[in-house]
Amino acid sequence: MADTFPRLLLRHASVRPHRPALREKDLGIWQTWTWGQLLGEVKAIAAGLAALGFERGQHLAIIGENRPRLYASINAVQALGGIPVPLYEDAVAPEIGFVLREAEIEFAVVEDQEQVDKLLEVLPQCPRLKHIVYDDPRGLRNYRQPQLRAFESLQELGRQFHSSRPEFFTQAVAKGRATDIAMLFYTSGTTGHPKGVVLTHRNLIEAGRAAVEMDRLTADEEVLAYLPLAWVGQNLFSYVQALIAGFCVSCPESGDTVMLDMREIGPTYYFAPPRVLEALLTQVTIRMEDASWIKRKMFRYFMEHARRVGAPLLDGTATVGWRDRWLYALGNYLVYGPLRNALGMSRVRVAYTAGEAIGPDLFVFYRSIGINLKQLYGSTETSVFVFMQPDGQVKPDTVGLPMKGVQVKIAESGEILLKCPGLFQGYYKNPQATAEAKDADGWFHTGDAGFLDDDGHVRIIDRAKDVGRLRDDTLFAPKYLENKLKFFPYIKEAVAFGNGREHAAAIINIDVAAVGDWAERRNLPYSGYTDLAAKDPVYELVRECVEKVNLDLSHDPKLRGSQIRRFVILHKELDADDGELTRTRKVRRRIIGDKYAKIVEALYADADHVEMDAQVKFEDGRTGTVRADLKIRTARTFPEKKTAFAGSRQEAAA
Amino acid sequence: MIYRENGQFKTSYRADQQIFPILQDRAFMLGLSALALVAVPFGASDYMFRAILIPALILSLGAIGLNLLVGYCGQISLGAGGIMAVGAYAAYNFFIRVPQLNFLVVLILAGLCAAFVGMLFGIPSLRIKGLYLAVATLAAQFFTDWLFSRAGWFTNYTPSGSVSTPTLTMFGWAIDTPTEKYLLLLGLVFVFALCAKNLVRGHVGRAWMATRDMDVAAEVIGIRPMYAKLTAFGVSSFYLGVAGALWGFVYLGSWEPLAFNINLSFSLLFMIIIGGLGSILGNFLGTAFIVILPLLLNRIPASIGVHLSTATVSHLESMIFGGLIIFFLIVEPHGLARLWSIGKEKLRLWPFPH
Amino acid sequence: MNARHIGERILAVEDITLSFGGVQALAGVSFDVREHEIRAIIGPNGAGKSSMLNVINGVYQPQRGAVTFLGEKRRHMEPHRTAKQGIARTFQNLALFKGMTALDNIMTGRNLKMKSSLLAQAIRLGPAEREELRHREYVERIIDFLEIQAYRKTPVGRLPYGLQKRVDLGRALAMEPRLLLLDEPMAGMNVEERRDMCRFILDVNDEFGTTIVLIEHDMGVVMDLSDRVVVLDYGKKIGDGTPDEVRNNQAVIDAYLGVQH
Repeated sequence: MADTFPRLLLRHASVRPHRPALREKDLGIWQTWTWGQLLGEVKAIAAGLAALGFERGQHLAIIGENRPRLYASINAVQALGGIPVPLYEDAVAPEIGFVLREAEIEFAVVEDQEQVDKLLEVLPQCPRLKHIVYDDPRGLRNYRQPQLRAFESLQELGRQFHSSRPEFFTQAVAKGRATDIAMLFYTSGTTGHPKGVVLTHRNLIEAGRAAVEMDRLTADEEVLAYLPLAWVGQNLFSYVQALIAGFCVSCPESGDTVMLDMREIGPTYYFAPPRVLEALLTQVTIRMEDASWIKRKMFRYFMEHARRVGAPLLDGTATVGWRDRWLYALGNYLVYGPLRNALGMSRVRVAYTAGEAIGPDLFVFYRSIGINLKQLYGSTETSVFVFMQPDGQVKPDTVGLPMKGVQVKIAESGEILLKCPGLFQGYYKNPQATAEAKDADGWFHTGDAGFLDDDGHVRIIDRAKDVGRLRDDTLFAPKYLENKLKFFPYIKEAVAFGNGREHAAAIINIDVAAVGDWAERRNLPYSGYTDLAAKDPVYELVRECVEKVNLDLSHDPKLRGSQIRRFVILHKELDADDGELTRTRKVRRRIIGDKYAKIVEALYADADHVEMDAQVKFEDGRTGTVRADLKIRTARTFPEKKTAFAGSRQEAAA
Repeated sequence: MIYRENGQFKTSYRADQQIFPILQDRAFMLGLSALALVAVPFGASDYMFRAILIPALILSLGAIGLNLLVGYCGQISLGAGGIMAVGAYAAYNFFIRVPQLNFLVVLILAGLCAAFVGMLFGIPSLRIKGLYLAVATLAAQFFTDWLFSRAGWFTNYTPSGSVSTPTLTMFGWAIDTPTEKYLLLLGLVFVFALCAKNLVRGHVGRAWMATRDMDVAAEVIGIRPMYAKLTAFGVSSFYLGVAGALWGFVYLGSWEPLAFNINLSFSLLFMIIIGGLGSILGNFLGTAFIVILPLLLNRIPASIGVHLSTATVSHLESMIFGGLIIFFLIVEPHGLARLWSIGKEKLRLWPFPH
Repeated sequence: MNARHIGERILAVEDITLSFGGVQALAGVSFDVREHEIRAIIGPNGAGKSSMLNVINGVYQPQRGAVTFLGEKRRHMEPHRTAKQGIARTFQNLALFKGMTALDNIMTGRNLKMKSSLLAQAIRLGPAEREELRHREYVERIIDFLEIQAYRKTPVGRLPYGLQKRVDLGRALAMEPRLLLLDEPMAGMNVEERRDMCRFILDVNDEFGTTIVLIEHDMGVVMDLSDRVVVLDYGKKIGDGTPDEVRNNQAVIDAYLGVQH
């Protein structure tokens, strides 16, 4: 069996030489490279690099958007026993310079003038860099640097080299081992310099193959490569798995045309992070707002129906009555089908999302209109595919089952530990970081806390370092609770407390647009955020949300104890300018806890209100004090395995 | 709604530039062709053929011709009827004077004669535009009216001035039943419409449209105004000439000069304006509108049980017909073809608004 | 940095005099343009800049003087003849073909190079189709160059102004001109669009070696882009030279500051 990427390429070139391997929309049409042609390209590139003195074990930087030639270069480098290092096309020059120096890079293959300029900028600090090969010559006519070389000239060099040593490529590929390093991915940590993740051919191929087998991917899949090539996920989807299954990968024409290209290609295998799915749904909602009332009514009616029966129909789990089936079929003709077509997802057979928690409404929306969207979990260090949801076993709040060969252990702290075939060799030139991530027994510390539910599905609840315990030792995962609250449109921000306390409590920010809208429909006058936040009906509204979260948590034996007992709606919106949020709008739990210590204490006392003096910055720069009397409310909590209805009756009886 | 375009990507310019690039459209056209070729010949009555299908096909061919000139090249013409007359009389003369000629050859020759005359009358377009050009082309109409009623040679000196044609035969096939006439016309219209479409998406078509949209800019990029305008007059008149010959030979059978008077010119102009200037499809829609609507209007009073005198019916018909034309021009000045394409866009964007 | 090779003189206008009725638009203006250079014509409103371009490409016939292009001297020539000689232009107030898509607009720029007969086009088999597809490919390169891939099949009337300007430039480029006349290519654009247009103009000059004559109001742009500048005022030439020379020319300063003559 082919166990390196160049061998996989050779196999496809002999099994399906005339089938498309890569496409790129260029000059208005989808220019196609067959597997046979791709092999030819790869051979020329490899020989060209060899002619320039590229040796086994050397690194080569690849910088640019998804372009067929960059993909071909990755394979060519691997054929020579070298290690491609893909870098983000929007990386700034100093970042690139750091990687060039750390990985001792002498060769770079880049897309265009923009990337060439960045490399030339860092050239004085990276004297090792000797060759820069560019794909698109535009604007480079007058560059005279000796390091520069056009792609065509590299291939020409390669063809000459090849004609003198025709057996060269085969020999080079024969020297490759599955345990050779195949790729070096740099991941940008939150602090300090990026870390290089070392992965072998075996790592990537075994991880990719397990996923190919689970989803039964064939050589007929269509994939659109629209996320950065340097991101491990895109690389797995559009390079590793394409070479394993032999399917065709298409590259969009430009950043502006991704949606158009997506509609044309109609991928069958698709990946999108939650933010992309969110943006698409927002677009759908906005465009529907402009539709005539009759269309809006029809849209709402059928979307409601889809919410009820769409997901069960897709899973084939629950029984759906013939009337609902018939109505769904009609909806499919009138709404779901056209919607899938507009999103470019008519042909999607398998779609994945990952990277962050996805709201259940968002997730269910896509599934209900018949798109087989699933979740997966993984990281660069694990070659992505660790936990995946198999068809028919999709739940909005898990990330699926462990893949073939993956061993899971939950640490005392709740952190998920892994052993898997895709597990990296280590961080490049960073034994200390490697030792922190991979312990002596070979367990990889994911940094994420979670647990396995009764069906063996993995639930990720939080970053391990944020997870705490209530006083009775129940698991307390603040971000998990906060996310659950934030999935309600009425709640904009939430901060959960509970570590070392008796129970969980929350400070909540309402979404002034959504709640304001809700208030207007109820003829509830209000003068602004602070006023709205203090209204009793709004407290009732938020309490319903909190109780729904609690009910949800009560089904969960591990998290049942961390239901939110008490909450307060804060009198002001959390603001990055006041240091309460990060610039990327993440809550700073500790700072908020200190700043509003009085509120937090009140949440754990018996008080039903708390007075708060707060410093606020006005827009004109002055600061002032706002005195607010905040109500504190108690939310119902639910015992084990009881439905809301039974629960409320019990309470009424008591 | 019905469109599912995911996966219909083009890997060559040929595929990208085909007339119907979308699969669903191709399927629709195939269905329509099957209907026209199989269902209609078996299903339609003689009346349908004689009153609707045959005249509609011939007039749509004429409309294509006129649309190439007016819609694509922007040169207004009121002389379409006269040019059709040239085609009809030319065909008649070739037919009786050189009887061994195949009818198809006669048609082509008739078209060429018409093209020659059309280009002659198109020469003023090099100097004048708009209304002035319309008046100049009107001269063509009056001149041909006069010529064919006065110059006996063209009518082979028949005393009444009207001419009649014998049964058509082609390759030993006598075309005398309405179904056969219909099939012959269907084939011809298909071929000519395809050629017209090819022309307007070729460089000559772009030269016409450029001249229409912005003549100064067209000349600055190297399009000779004389070439663009005269080819438009020539090709347009060729189509009109062929349509005229068919109108005489296939539809009328025998005719007098009055058959090609100014009314015919106006009818064709209405067809392309209602159908849509600058659209090949529009010609068919416009022709159908003009041919079928009066027939329908004619029948409405009787079908709802109101009995009116024939004269009243025909007056009402004219009034309603006129009203509808005005209504259409107000609602959609770009014609039925625009409505069609908006409808299609709406279906493609469904459920989103256009 | 710039390694362009400025070549021989390819255009000379001599003693051009043009008037409409009693109004004199140009009075005895002479200047020349060398191959591969970017030559700007500046001047206050009504100085006769656009008229000068119209004389060069044959839209206006001057009463006196002659234009020599590529060694061929002429006084009267129709625009389609000058187009054939290799002079293309863009328009100050967009003159796109409104009923056509961006792609078709640029395709019209190829008309001069397309030779297949009427009959061949009607039948569209073999050579006629191949010719059409070959030129489509060339036009696609321009679309790529101008970065308007997302709009190729949009009717130009629906495009925002800045993109229409690019299509206008694309149509001129499709002619593969030796000399490109740009009439206020940046008028009415926002800062970002201006920056893009500047880049395109420099790239055209650089990649295709096209000689460019441009009219522009934005002095910063003119001084950055052009190799040499002609200054017109009330139909007369009052300055000619490199941007630096022109900037320090007293007559030019006066004209721009509105000093009365």
